[in-house]
Amino acid sequence: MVTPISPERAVKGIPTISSAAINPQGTAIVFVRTKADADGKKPESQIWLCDVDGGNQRQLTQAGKANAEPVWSPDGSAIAFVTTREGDQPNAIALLSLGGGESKLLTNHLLRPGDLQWSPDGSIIAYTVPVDPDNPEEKPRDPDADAPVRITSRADYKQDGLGYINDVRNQIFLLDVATEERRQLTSAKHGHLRSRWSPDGKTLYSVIPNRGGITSRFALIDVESGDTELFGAEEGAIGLGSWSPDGSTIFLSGDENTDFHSDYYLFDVATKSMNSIVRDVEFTAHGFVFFPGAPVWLSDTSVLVTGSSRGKSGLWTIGVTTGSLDEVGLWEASSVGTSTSNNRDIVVQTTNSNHGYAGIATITIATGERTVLWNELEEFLTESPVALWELVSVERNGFTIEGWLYKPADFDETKTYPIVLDIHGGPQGAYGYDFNIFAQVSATNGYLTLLSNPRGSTDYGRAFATAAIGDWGVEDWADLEAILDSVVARPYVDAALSGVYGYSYGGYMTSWAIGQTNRFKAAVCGAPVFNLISMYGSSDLGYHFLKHQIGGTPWTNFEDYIKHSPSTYVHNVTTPTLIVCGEADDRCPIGQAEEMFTSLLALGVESEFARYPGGAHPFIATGPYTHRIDFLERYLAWFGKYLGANT
Amino acid sequence: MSHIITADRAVYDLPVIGSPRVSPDGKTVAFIRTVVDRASGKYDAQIWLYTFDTATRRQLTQPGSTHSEPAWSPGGEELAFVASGEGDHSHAICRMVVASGETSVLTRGEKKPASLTWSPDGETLAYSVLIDPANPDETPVDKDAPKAVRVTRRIDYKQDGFGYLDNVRNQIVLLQVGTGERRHLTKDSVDHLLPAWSPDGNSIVVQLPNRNGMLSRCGVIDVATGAIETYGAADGEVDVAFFSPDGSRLFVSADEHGGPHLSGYVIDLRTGAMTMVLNDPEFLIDSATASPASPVWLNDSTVLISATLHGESGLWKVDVDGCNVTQVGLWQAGHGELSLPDDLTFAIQSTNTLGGTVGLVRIDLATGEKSLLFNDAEDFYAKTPAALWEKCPVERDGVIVDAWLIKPADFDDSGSYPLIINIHGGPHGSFGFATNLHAEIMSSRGYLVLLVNPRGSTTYGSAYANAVKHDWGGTDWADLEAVLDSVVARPYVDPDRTGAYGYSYGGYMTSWILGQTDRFKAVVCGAPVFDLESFFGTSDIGHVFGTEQHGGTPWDVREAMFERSPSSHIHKATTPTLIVHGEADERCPIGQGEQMFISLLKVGCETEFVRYPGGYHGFTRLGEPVHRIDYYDRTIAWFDRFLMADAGR
Repeated sequence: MVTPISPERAVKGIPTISSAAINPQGTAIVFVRTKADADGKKPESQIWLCDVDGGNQRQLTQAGKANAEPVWSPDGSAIAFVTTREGDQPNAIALLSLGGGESKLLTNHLLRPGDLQWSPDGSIIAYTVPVDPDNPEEKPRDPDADAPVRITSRADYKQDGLGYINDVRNQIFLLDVATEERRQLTSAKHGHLRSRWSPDGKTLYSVIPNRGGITSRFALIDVESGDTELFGAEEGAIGLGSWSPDGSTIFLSGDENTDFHSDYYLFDVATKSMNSIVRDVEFTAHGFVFFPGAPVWLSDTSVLVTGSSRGKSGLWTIGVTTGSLDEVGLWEASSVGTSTSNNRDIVVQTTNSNHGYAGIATITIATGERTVLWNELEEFLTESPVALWELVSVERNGFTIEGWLYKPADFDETKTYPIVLDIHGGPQGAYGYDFNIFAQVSATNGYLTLLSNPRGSTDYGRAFATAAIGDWGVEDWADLEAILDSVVARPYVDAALSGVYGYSYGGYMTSWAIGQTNRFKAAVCGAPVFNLISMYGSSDLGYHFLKHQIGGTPWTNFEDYIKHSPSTYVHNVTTPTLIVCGEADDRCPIGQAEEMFTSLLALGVESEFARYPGGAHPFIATGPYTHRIDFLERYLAWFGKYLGANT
Repeated sequence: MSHIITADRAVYDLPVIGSPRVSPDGKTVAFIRTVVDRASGKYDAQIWLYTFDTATRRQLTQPGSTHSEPAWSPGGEELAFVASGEGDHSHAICRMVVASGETSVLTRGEKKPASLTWSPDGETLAYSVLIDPANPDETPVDKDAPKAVRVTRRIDYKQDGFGYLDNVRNQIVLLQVGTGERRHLTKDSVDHLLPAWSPDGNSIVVQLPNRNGMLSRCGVIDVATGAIETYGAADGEVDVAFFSPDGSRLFVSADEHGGPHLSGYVIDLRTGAMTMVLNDPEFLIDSATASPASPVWLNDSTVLISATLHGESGLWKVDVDGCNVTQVGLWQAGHGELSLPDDLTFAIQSTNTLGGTVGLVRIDLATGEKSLLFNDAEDFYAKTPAALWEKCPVERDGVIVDAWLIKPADFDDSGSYPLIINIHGGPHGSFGFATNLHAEIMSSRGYLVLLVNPRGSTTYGSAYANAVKHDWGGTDWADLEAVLDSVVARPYVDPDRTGAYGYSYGGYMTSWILGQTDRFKAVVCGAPVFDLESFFGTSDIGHVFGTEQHGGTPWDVREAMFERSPSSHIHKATTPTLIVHGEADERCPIGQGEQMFISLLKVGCETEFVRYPGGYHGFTRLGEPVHRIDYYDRTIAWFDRFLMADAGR
């Protein structure tokens, strides 16, 4: 018998690689490696450097445990990065000269800066940092003082992961690298993300997130005066933009209606007009908050973009004058980034895959040839092998519904196994070919684990991504049942031992599913959306998200809010259910889980409620080790009790 | 305008007098005087002693700790009390020899003990204290480690004021006065409150609340074995219970269905029979939790109770065998708590009243004569006179709806005043003759403040209190409007400058009002119940209270809950509304305020949302002083902006 991946190893034992960036000369790659610190209590991030072929790896930073976001100076002689040290203003921007010597702290802040961008001439670093207009001096709060009263009159007064923010927003600062003087460029009551310098260094492009970041526009900001002009649809979403080499246009991805499927546009700076270049591509553009990877101008007429299609990660080139779209490559992996050197011959991405590897990949743009420089998971998977999987699919109502059936590493088709249906968040999210820690733990501990992309998922085109809008829980749930039915029919699946798990929209769907069917012997429901009416007013983005997803407001579309709320069907539930939720979740607030738990207990349904103090919405991925391990152990224990794989 | 009672003064300069305990010989009264220390901004509660002979009072304990729960030893030489400081194990149970002031610490703990009670032989103190079965030794937690995951399977896993509890519940602990040795008498993970000894010292009677205190029974515990015998209906309420002098019976105030109005019962401990001796009185028997006033047996067949009738405080003698009730006295005042000396000839109560009294009263039980021992608010109201008041009841549907109109101390009936209707919580709460700080503050600034007891209010009998069940926002809102209409018709009320204020159920009602009328120019809505369905699942008491008040769960009576939810009518709101809410409120959780705030913004209604970090449901009365001041100031500013702007003030 092979060793399953334990929750503790899954959480602490897997190093992650992020922020890979190739130097302008194309000879070296800088990246961040994060792994458990020496006493195994917290993650530690350090900046590393390797040759472009992955050789000669060496650690560049030693001080501090949170070094991140390395960016090359335009001449490739130095790296700026963000770091955390001790002190009253512990968050700093540091500069490391590759010529040798210690890194130098350039400027300090109370809160953590990010989005470092060198000006074209290398004299200035633009960055963003949260600014509190009530505390411009960035004084640390007296821990003994009463917490200040919170007064707001704005709808976006809180945001998951940040908590109560009111007018605290990311503002752009300009840091003079030589003098170490800084100046605050913006002070509007909206945030700023991912600034990009115009080639002449006079203007910054910046994404302007609104409504908790679910919508965004973009701004052009005059570097001298700070004068700002906003563009883009008020309720649309704008991705990362990229200035053309001559500075006359900006290539960007965007979405006019918050429908989670972007098109590509060319913005003409002189005429301030947006011109559609390519519409309705079959892949989901990267370049939003979660998947950085800005478009790259390969020439005056061609742009390289990254995205994902049917769970695969890909690169494409777009002809900005012709509107042509050509695939560079599409790989069974989850990859992030579009770092290129000055001569634009290769792209560097961080990558991970359910084939059992993770690390850095280089892709030759001309040929699509891809090399994974090393496997960061090699040591980890030597001790406990990667889960097996196969791609499964069903046809339903004109769509192909795909899924990945994960199996124990020592899967034996002559035996029978319990099965867990694992439902992703969103609904406009997607599963894919990534190295999914939750699926790995579930499958290697004895559960067939089915991850599927029902309609509403991204990665399958606009019609598919928008199919769940106005229809939550109906056709998408039918898709999930159809693919589950097709797998459960297999001889090695014990149909009587099936469970369901989901988090966020997956939690919505889990709480929905157990009100629709009693087929599941157990459910694990994470951070659910349970009651759409209370969700509307208590989630950080409820008032906007549900307006688009359900329609209108609870008072204009009451029947729709009732029809699609799991709470409406909760009296049908008999499935023993574990509910998990972070207590500081502002996305799917714990009130949703409380409503569900109270209802289940009042109905006499067996239920357990695990609350994670301080946990924001993504705590199962980014929270303290102890909480993440607890979650995975609790998942295994709950399914173990009712489905019994691990007993 | 002179004589303004600022929020700062109201919070800092007005003392609170409570926990009076007459010494067994009847010569002195120990009590707690609480003020807010200006330097630290923290509450400072000290034990004082009033001496009848000299009519003087002196402080017994010293600053540095706050004090509570004074309890005389049976012989009357010593006081036991709780002293609470800072740091680990910050709560100490102390004993003081009153004559010398010599004080010793008997034991220390992490949680604050309550209801210290001496055994009849003076050797043991019983008390209740929160015990975590996962950490019975109260080992301090590692503050640097991530907080422990909270895993629960019980519906009453949290409670307002305490937050997450799971199996943490009040247990009865016995403390040997001589040795300081402690023994945990109870272990079941339910609350055990208000211990009282049997005359022979062999038993202790306790209240056993469940469902976060919405329901309760009582239990008699055998001190030797810890075995417990329970009494009372499973879905009912038993408030306080006390042994008769011969130890054979218990008097309890109780209701088979959970109140809000309780009847009097006697439990015969030999037969277990529970017999009603006081059937559905019109007065509301003071409860152990809201205004701790324990019934007292005057002899083996007579019980003295403190109760409130139509907002007035009174004492009654109940003949538990003849089932007669005799009034000792009824006063236009707020009285609380009840303490008698060994000879049972008089009673001491704490008092605070409209018109500016804070102190202790002595009531002679033979004559019903009441005397004020002292008024600790004399200085306060000398500088800023208390508001004037008049009763202004209205008859509607054949029922008298009681009300008070609070007026500025310098009221002039030729003037024209803005008016604020202040709506009480509950719905089973009531206004009365007790001091109303909000009304004092607002009237001192030139507002008329209207206090109404609409249907649903207590102190008018159970039929009146229960009239609001299944009818929230119906007949009670009609009652409120009827009284309001009658007062607004008066020449000195400016009908164009009216506002509404309410907290808790008053917050329900103000948010309800927003969808019913545009008559108000401004609303301040505190800790509202806004959406009855989400309240059911998120409030600590929603699963009991929601069902009891609306006739079922959301899946049983969804239409009715929807119809009576302010959220269903909020799109009609136009009145500028300030929402104030404690972020740690588990009774009316902040999600209610959040839903309301977002709704008002989306319908284009002017609104501001004020959140108090760490604030529980009672924060406006007992929370951080700076938060209380902020809360009052913000309320003042909101009403001033919309009701005073045109008045040239």
